[in-house]
Amino acid sequence: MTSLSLDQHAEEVLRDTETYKVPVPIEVVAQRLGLKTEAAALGDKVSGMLVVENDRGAIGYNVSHARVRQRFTVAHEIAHFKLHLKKNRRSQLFIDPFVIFRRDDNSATGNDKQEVEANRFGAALLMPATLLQKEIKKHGLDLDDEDALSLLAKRFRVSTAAMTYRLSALGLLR
Amino acid sequence: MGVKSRPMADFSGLYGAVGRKIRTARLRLEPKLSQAKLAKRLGISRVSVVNIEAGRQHAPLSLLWQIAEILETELVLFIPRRNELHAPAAPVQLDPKTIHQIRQAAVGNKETQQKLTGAISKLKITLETQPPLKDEERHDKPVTRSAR
Repeated sequence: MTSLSLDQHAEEVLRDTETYKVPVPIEVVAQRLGLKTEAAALGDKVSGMLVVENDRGAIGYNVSHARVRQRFTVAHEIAHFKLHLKKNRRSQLFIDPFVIFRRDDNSATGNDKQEVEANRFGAALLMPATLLQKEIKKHGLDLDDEDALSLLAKRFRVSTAAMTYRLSALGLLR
Repeated sequence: MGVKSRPMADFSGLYGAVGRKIRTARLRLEPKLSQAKLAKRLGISRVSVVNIEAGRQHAPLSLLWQIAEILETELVLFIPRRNELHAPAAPVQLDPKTIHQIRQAAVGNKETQQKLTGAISKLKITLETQPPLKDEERHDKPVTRSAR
């Protein structure tokens, strides 16, 4: 899927679940999609997982991660649920390894491609382009100012790294 | 009398479950909100917050509503499903494919492998104890883009 249609699709999900607001209540999104969310002891190699049985899903996110990271994980698993389920399979499982934010996501084969797409869709759920632009305008934010970036990240309840990455993906950063 | 008896949930754990959900939501806030600070914002004593979280004190709906607002969540998320009031039944059997996926994700780390097995089993139990969605509740139907 192209980035543009990913963005549109993410916005549709938020509007359909009546969660199109700042900050996006990501657990409510999950719940309204019929997904359970639970904190789970996953060790230090895994961020989260999605278990699907007969169309019903449950998301587990790492209990020891920071809240902003957990929100990102939940959004990422929602992306797998919306984009990557195979038809006619009774039981499916996604396990997502813990990876530090990388600026370059140039790995693009097989599963990696799915992961990159899930990250983009997850980011679009947590930081919808239109809402970002509104907030930037409303607060008259100068995106060259690091304090402005962290303020924006706080408003959307995401990490500053995730916000920076998203803004540059949208071409809003120099 | 004439009333047909039907299986009832065990309500003894209801307020305990609500309390645990409140506690989880409070600790999830960034920065974390202390019991004392939550109490102050609600205009009640800290001991009341402690007791509500422990399920010993039964908060009225209006108070639960305010708690949900302060904790940036929704009241409905504090309310457990009937099935959550029962202890989960027998452990689930994981299929070979799942076990293989767990091995891969754990990259040879035994502890991670155990944790993942536990977490996945728990999630599967959660799913098994959930009633199926009614059609009108479903949001996960594929969106037909061309039709718009």
